[in-house]
Amino acid sequence: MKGYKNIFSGFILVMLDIHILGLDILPDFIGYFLIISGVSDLYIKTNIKAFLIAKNFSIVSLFMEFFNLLVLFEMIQINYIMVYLTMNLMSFIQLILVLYIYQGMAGHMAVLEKSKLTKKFEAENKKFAMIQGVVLLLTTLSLNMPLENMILYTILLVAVSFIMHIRLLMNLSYAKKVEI
Amino acid sequence: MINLSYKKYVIIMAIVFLLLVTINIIYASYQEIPEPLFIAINDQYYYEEAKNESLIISYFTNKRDTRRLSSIKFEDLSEPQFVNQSNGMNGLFFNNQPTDNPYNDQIGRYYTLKRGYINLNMSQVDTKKILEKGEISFGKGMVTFNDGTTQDIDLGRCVIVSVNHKNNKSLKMGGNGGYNHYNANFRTEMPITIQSIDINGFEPHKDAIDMTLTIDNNTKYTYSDLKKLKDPIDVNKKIELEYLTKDPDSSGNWRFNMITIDMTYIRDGKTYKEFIHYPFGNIMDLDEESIENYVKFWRSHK
Repeated sequence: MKGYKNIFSGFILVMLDIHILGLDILPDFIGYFLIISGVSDLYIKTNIKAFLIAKNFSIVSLFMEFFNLLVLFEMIQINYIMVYLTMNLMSFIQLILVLYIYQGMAGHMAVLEKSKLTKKFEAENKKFAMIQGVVLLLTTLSLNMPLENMILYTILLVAVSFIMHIRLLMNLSYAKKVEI
Repeated sequence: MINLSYKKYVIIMAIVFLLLVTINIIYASYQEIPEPLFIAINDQYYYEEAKNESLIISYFTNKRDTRRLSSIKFEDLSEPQFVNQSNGMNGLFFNNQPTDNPYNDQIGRYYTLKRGYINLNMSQVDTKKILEKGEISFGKGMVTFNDGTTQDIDLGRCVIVSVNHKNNKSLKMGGNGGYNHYNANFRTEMPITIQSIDINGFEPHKDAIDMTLTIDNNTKYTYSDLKKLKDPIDVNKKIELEYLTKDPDSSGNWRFNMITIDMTYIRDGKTYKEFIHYPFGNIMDLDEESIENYVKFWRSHK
């Protein structure tokens, strides 16, 4: 399904950052455009409210990404506390965005009477909510973390988060293969 | 999510998230210092006409403080001193900080350690004073930052001594210092009598540093011995002063810089004064913990 394909491609762009001459050749804002397009498409086709909520959160993410670009290109200067606030707020919004995408996916599969996938997506959603929720809350402690512990702490949190997002991509991949 | 609706989960997460973010920001803001803290220098330099003396000043400031030093006007020097902050050891490599400040030398979670380099600009008035009086002393002054803001500072006692004056009055000094220790040796060719040792400068550091004064390799005095001391001390050959941090893993550099001891002694019927200080003023190896210890020390003694 096109909607899932777009969400899948969108998350790939958001997750991967490949920099050439300091420029991200897979810009996150294009990723968010694809996610918005994907969830909008799914909402139109299914009328499942979770996709509409996901759309709103992905629009907020897109705006925050533009704000990040302004900071990156030094059009706006912010101090490290604002950097901390922005990064954490983005992580929080992305957590909620994924939860509603999962909820939409589970609801959609229920409508299509794919009970196995429905249960799978519901279970994955719970896992994502719990694990990513803990990762997010632990990330908020980074501001006051001594720098000598920071590297290991960050690597662990990023690794967990990366695994959870890979699982999301795998689930989106299952969803996009579903035949209506 | 466990038996909670999405809405409840989002609301609870939002509350906990906002609470943690707010607490963290408040805690980090509480750590901020109202203005940069300049590390005392307390050093002695020798004046030679053909040579320009240089000073390295170090200071901590909040990580988000992107100002740079432009100049310093010392109260006891007639000319303002230009400060160069672009040629530090690490200056070139620190250009990827969130604050975009290439002049941060060492960054911690709250503070950054910066250095400034000064080639002392001595006017004729200053050099005349040195040659006439034998020495000139400065330390208090006002720094100007590149955004035009100013701050009163006190770098302790920086003394410029004329070489002739030094040869006449000083004991022969040697020593070595490092991360957690400092050792100063004074040798004398004829017996001297120490009349007084002013160790008040050591007082704020007595819980962190052990001090030992050894006379002629056999008589040892600790800080508390010296506090009680009333009688003069006779020295035939050698005075050895040692500082050792009580915690061997903690940096004593910044404390050594702050400590000055004034010793008055009699040699051949004449009274002399010796300014005992840490001569390795440039602090290069302060870790994050030491920087935060310095701020704690400053908060408790301000």
